[in-house]
Amino acid sequence: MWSVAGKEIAPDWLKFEPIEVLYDFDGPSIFTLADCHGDPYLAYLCDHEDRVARFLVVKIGHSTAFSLKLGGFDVRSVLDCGTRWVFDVPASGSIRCWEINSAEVPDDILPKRGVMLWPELRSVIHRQTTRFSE
Amino acid sequence: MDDTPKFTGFPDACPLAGAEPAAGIVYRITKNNPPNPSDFLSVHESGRILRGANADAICMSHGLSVFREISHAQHKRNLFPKLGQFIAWTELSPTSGVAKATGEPTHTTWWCYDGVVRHLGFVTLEE
Repeated sequence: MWSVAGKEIAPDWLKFEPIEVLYDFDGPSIFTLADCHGDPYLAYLCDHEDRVARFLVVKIGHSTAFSLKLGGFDVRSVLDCGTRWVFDVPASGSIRCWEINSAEVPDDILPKRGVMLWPELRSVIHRQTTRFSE
Repeated sequence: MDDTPKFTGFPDACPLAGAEPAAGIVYRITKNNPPNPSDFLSVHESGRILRGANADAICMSHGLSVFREISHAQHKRNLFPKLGQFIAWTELSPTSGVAKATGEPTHTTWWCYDGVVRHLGFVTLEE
């Protein structure tokens, strides 16, 4: 897995249990979760290796998950916003967390731009291109 | 000698009700070409923890996720580029286990019988 360059912090500010699973493939891969104040976050499975799953986590608005399901945003657009955290969730042992900035996230671990949550949702970029060409 | 196929180590009521003998063409994302056993570990076998998971999710963690349509595998590859770049396919047979549609959009969980060498028969279609 890629080397995380951010600042390591205590992971317990976020309860790492899915509230709503938005995409499941060999387990929850994109899901919402919440901090102790009930503020929503989105977790994205960006890598896994040697019994450790690595998630990229971003803070989201209360309607973001709904918009993702409707096709209002592509997944990359949501992950590109604001502060990001990386969580390493091992099969055994303690969860680790880093606060990172955007420049510290390798591009190849992120979804391709314009890819929607589910395949039946049309890409926003494609929709806009189509509209402009009409 | 009992030749009845088995699922050793599965929880109660697993595979899920409604699962039927595996059949039909399926697609799976793999990291390797040709596919190898490491591409076919269940969540349970790979040791990933499903915190807060319900009984259905725990049962699904003993199976393998596959798609029924290649376009959905292509979408998944674009959504999670780090998790595998190859798309492999096979035609499941009832001797390999049971399967059930378990999510959006053609997500299918395939529970393999003991002794099935899962990666054999999977052929890489594209990268």
